[in-house]
Amino acid sequence: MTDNDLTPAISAFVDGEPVDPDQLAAALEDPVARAALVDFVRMRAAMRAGDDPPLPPSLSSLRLPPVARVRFLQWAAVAALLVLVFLAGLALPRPWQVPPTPESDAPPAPARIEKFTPGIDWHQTN
Amino acid sequence: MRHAQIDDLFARYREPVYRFLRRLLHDGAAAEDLTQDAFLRAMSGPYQSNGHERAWIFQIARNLAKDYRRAAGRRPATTAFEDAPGPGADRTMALSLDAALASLEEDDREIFLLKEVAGLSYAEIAEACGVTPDAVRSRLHRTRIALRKQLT
Repeated sequence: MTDNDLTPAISAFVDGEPVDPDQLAAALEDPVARAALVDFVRMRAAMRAGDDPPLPPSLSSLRLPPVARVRFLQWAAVAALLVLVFLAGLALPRPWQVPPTPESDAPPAPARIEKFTPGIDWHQTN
Repeated sequence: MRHAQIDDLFARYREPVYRFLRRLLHDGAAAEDLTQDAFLRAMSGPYQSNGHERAWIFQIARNLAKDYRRAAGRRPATTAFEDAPGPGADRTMALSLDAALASLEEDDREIFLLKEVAGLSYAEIAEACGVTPDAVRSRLHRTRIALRKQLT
């Protein structure tokens, strides 16, 4: 026999929960409940025995929140996009800039013509 | 929730949360990740320092574990016992208990681990699992009896 009406009080007692003292006294008088008490304590020892290793180093501190990480990635994506737009802009043709042609090297057409008459002293002053 | 509060919560409860998740999932790496996630999720949660923070953080951890298992579509390993028992511990008993735990219903296993590994009170377990303290009391007892039968 592994269980009777008294073992629930033993279970609660093992857990440090409030129990009726009379019920506990009766349980401790009962061999079945006493055996249950020993087994419950053994179970607890076995449960805790397997959990002794130290905490992994990754839990020494709280990691950067994912929200902040996502925000950083968003900013990085925006910056990368801006650089891409700038570089694309450099590669595009610029219609407002006329490429130099052979004609543009010729002198402009004269707006007026001065005629130099031979025999006049050009250095004479009034 | 402010950083100082979450840091304090992390310092106090990271170890029991990690140990609970590791025993529940039988996966140390997943337990590490979910422990971090639990506290990060708590950062954006409606935290109130009213003495219920331990139940609250374990509720988050438990929900994350449920999501993880659902996503992975896995059941806990039946005999994987990663760590050697400490001095004086009965290794055979530990291994048998681990296997017996795997055969329990998921909710019963969670309640048992919240008690035995994390050390929560009945009221805290009730809050974390959304049941009454009386239900925790009876389910824990029932679980112990079931485990005891399997171990003998």
